[in-house]
Amino acid sequence: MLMKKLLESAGFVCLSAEDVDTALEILEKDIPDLIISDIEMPEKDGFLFRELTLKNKLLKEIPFLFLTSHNQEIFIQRGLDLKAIDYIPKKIPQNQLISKINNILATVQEQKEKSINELKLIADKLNLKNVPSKGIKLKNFEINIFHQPFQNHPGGDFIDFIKVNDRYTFLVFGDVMGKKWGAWFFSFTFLSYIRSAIRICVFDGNVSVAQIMQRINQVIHVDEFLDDIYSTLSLVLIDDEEKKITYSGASDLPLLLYRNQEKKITQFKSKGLLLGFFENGNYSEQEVDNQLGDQVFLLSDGAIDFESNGVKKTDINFFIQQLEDLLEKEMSFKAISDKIFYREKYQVDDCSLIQIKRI
Amino acid sequence: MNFRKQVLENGIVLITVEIAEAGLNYSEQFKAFLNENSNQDNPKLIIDLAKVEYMDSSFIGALVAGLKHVLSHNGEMALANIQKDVNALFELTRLDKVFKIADSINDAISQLK
Repeated sequence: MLMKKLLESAGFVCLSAEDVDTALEILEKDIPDLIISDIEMPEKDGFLFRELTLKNKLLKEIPFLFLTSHNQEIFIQRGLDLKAIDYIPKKIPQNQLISKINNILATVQEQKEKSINELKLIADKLNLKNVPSKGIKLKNFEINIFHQPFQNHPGGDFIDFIKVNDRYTFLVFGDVMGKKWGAWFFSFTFLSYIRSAIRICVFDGNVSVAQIMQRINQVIHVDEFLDDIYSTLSLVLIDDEEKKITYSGASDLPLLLYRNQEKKITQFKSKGLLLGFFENGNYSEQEVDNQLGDQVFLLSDGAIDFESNGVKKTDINFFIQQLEDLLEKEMSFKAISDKIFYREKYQVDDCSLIQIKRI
Repeated sequence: MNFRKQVLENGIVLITVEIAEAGLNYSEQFKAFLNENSNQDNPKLIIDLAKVEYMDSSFIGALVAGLKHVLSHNGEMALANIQKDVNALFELTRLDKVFKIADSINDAISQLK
């Protein structure tokens, strides 16, 4: 308890347990950044605790420190054999303890970032991008993107522009369910299908977003590789000649239209179901009637997830209200994104926002 | 335990999710738990979500994968006691059209009969 108080006074959030079973119960609910364990405990000792954490997929990578009054070689060796990072003597001065913990956490973080950066570098070299680095400008529309991956790992949100000709441009926006690398990996399979389906339909003279959506759904439905993997999709066709926007969605969040004259946001809800789950996804399309200065927004679920007082929440109305207030002040897209996604509270999931502005 | 299983008198399996923030850390474990409990023919599952205050897309993905597994065994699955915020997300994304949604365990039982 003394150590808990000390660590808390140094700014750490600590959960403590009197024995191994209680510790394991706590670890079922909360995954910490570091585990510090006594060796001598009632019933199960610290070595057994370490063995149990090593057997658990979610716990085995967490840095583990032994706290002990033993300095005998045999104890130290046994702990190190169990991949414990270090021993801390019980009589360690307070400032040394804090420094030691800070150093361990910093090293772990550096290693993680190094690994992620190496993977990112490889992905960049292979030109594997599921989100374009910038938006595009057409004759009558401008498309801007904000994308913030979860904990800086590439994730499952994917965005693509497919410019068919000077008249038609498709905007593809999907979100593979899940986070980080797993979702990122599958996003390319979805993107390949979507790109192919759009091209094939266009070659056949079909530019109906609902029909293209159904074609995409059909192929994904029968693909065993994607059996347990699901994605939402928003498909938007921009007709730059007629200044028309047509939209179809699959389990996506509503498309938002900000009418510049009325200074109000209208939601366009689609009826389509999750991509690939049913043979027929019930896709329909809507025309998004727009005037000069109007703005259309598409968003991933991460954009409406946030953390308030340590509690995670999902609230689209809160997001719409914030967006409406900022749009009324005629802020740029960059300023709006900076303002809305400025805090770490938005680091709950991948977070994407797309703006289509009539110019 | 993060998930609790109880077999009801009529053979329906009631799975209670005991976590408030259902996210990435639990999704794989939950998917495996659902699959373990729906391998027989015509499985009937009720998932009690009363304690879940927040659900991310990984966990929703696990639920959807679980439903697909249940359907592939000619079974049925219902979600019961969904909290307001989670329900709003389900409605927004039409997942309420994919799952059977029940207001209570009794309601879920009657939907699975």
